[in-house]
Amino acid sequence: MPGMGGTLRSNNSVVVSAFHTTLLHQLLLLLFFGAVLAIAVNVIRTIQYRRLGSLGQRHFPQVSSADTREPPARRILRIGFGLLWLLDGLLQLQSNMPLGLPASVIRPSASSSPTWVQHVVNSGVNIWTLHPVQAAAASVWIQVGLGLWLLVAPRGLWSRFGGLASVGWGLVVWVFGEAFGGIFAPGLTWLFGAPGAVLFYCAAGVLIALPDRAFATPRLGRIVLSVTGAFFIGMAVLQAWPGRGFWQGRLHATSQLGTLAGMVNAMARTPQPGFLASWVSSFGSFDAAHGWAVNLVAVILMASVGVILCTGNRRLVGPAVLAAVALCAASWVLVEDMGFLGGTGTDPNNMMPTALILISGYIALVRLPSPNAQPVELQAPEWTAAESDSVVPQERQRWWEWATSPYLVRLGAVVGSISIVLVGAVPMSVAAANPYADPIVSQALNGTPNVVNIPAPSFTLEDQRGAPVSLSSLRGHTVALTFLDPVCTSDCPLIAQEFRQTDQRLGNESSKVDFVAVVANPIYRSIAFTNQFDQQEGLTHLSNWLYLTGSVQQLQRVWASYGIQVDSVGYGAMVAHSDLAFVIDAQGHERAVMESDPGSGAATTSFSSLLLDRINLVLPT
Amino acid sequence: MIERLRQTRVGMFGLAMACLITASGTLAIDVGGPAASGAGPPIPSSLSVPLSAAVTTSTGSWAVVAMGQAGVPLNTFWELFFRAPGADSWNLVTPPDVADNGGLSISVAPSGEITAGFESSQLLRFSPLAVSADAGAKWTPALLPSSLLATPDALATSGDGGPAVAIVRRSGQQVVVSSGPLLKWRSLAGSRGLANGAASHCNIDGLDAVAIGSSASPLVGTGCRGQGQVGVFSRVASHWKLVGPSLGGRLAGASTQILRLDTTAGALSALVAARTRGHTSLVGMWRSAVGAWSPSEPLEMGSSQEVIGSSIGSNGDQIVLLSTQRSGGELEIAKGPGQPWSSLPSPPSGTVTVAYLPDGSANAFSVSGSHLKIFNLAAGQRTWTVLQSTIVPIAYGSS
Repeated sequence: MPGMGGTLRSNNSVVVSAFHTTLLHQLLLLLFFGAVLAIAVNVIRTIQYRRLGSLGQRHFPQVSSADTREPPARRILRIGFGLLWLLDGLLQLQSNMPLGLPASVIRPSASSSPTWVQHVVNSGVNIWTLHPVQAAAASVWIQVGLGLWLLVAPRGLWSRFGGLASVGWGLVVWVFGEAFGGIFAPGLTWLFGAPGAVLFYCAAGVLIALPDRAFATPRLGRIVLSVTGAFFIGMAVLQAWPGRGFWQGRLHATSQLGTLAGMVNAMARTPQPGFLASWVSSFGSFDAAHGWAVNLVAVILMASVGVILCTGNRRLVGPAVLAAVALCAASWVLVEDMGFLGGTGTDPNNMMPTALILISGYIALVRLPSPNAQPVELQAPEWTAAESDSVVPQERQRWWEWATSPYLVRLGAVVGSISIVLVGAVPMSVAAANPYADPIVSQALNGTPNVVNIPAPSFTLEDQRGAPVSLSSLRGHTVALTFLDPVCTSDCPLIAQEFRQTDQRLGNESSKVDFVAVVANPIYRSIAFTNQFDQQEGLTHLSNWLYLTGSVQQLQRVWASYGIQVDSVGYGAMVAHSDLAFVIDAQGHERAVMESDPGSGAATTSFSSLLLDRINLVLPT
Repeated sequence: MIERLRQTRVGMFGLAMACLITASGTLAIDVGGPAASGAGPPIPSSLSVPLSAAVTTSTGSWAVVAMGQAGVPLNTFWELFFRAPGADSWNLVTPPDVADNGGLSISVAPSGEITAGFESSQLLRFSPLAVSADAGAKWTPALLPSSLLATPDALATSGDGGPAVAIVRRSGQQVVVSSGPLLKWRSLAGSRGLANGAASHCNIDGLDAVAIGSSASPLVGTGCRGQGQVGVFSRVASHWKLVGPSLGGRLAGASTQILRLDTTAGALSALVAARTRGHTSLVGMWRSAVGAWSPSEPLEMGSSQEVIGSSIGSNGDQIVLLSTQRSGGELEIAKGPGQPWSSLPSPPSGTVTVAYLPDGSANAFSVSGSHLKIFNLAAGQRTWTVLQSTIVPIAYGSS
């Protein structure tokens, strides 16, 4: 019925099931690929053993990595953000991600941003909405793959590429998933997640992508701490800015909660373990009562930490970093509610990444790598640059003489991680290039089409030009038939567009198909209305489009024979009628009956994908 | 030493970054701030004229009432009520099988034939019409190929297949005219056409209302910027002629807007909003058979007041319902030229429309969701009494 329903719940069983099936298929593909990789490593090892044997050597090359250790600051970033990506990827496994992410996470986060931000974000949301299953599965694999990549590749070019890949995907998530971290929206505050958790992932990715020599002096540490300090000062100023509701626990004029207390209380109401809800709720109450003091402490802490970090004073930086990490931990638990509990959490928010950056910056400042360490990329041959802790290849040395066992395993792990990323990214890229929605959306809304094979009820009506048209006169063509109200304000124009798109997608085959609509309104049914509707929907130039009408008695007969219900439902309301479409083959047999409710219109073209499939099945050869 | 210098440089870099971040944040905060105002109080913006309206003719009274969920456009349905002369109750006569949650305007021809125009909503890009010659018992469909403007007098018909005129949203705003069964319309003029066609003093600021004049000629009401000119244009021998008067006194430099334009009482009457710096005044105007205009005294609106509903009496009386802090609103009536506006007792809370009947009584339509209470104020009385109470079956979520 037009406007009577048509909304998809985020836990729609059809979509959730398709999501799980897709993940399972992709997992099987990865397992197969993993097996192939394992066999390949073993084959290589066998070849290596034979070659070494032919040279009279009895043992594989051994690792000697005393002077090729990874800088500690880099290791913290790599492992920390690797684990974060892994966690984010696992959070994407939630069943409600395919349909829930755009509605529950992305759109709300962009809603208070300027229009241009919403346009940018919507372009990403649109792709997700058209291909929800592929997009959600891609997010899982890409993030899990990135996490593993960072974890298994400690050094060398492959490791640095992992950092860059992290930056690339991080920017995609920051722009389209976090609406630029809300930096263009009012109410910007670090305590709520600004400037977007993933921006820290990007910063970490940049640092991981730096060559080893960048970590060889304290300079990098000072720069990292200074930039972070500057960020803290800026955020402290915003936090202290009057008129933004942070100084008040409760607004006196309206008795509403202040900005921070309001946010905390909202977080406390989301589903989560009882003890955590109790902590968050208690802090919310405390802030409601002492908003000014809480904000003062936050501002002073942020500003002090920021100033100290900017000065780079070695004696003070340590305690400042400690204080900042403590503030991060407190804010993460008490304000951000750990970021991913409740709702559709996609990451643990910005506090852990901030703390990781601070700690690694501090380590980079005070704990330098061994002075004996050599930048590994200067030693590795170009094509084996990923080799991290291997024996340095000597001139004229063959690969089987220097490729160590850990090197091969690690190389396999890196290739495996990249494969995981690709298993998500490739199908998503293919889907994103398709401007038409997956049929799954329509199936989720309307169910699977009924496959039948019965004679279609005949009719004779008048087309939009006044010429008589009967079903038998269309014999030899496949007919896509539906029922539309010409003064309908919601579903009918969308269904008409689905028909038009199906016609376009048929290409040359469209000459074998007639798209037919029958008027579904007992009053507004004259040719003047069908013509006006055609004009409105851009259907006038379609030679295979017929919009049929007739007397009320004629129409009622056709409605009854096709099981279409047409009812007056209230004063001021449009007619309620069944949204059904029929595919009739060239011999005049009904071959498919489909619900054609286009839903909220968010994923239009999905029905056309479904209709196209059904038409293709019965097209005359 | 070099290390310390580097340290200082990095520290300076950090401070510079801090300044940059702070400045950006401050800029972001300032972006949403109010624009600086010029000297003196600003000219109030155009009034929005709600579609809740009533009109009384010798053939009966009609009222358009917004019902359902106020503030939720998709669930606000506009219902049409009719009260025959001498009858003691109102009938619900909303045309069936067409969505009216975009809005509903009516035009009553001298013969009593009523035409309801439906403002398009959501994906509909044209306006269905419904015509009834038997007080809403049976409706005949018609259409406007574009979207009808959402004002109470965007549509005017002369009935019995005579000419009709409407304002539609097409390439801005356009006046279209039909001379047949309201299925084929042709463009008559846009704002520019009106301005070019008439050597006028009206700096046109949008099309507001239409009416059919005594010789079946179209009349168009427009906004005029400054100069106190009232923008009423008449089509004379294929040309547009400005026939609206100029306001005098303290309204001499006002910007004007036509809230209502009507000829149901035989003569042309108009309700004009005149906006000067800081003030909006309402003026009722009547045009005599020889073309002379006579205004009422101006009614000055409060700075936060809005027009809730408007009504035209059978003698061309102008009635407005203004919002107030108190429930019910402020009800004012202008009964004729030179007369001041007189206040009627504040109608009951929830009132959206007031109809003024030929016997001098007034009926207030008070709405709460699907519940409608109609109150009566007998001529000369100060108390509203319940006349009728009903529940209108509204199909929420049907559009």
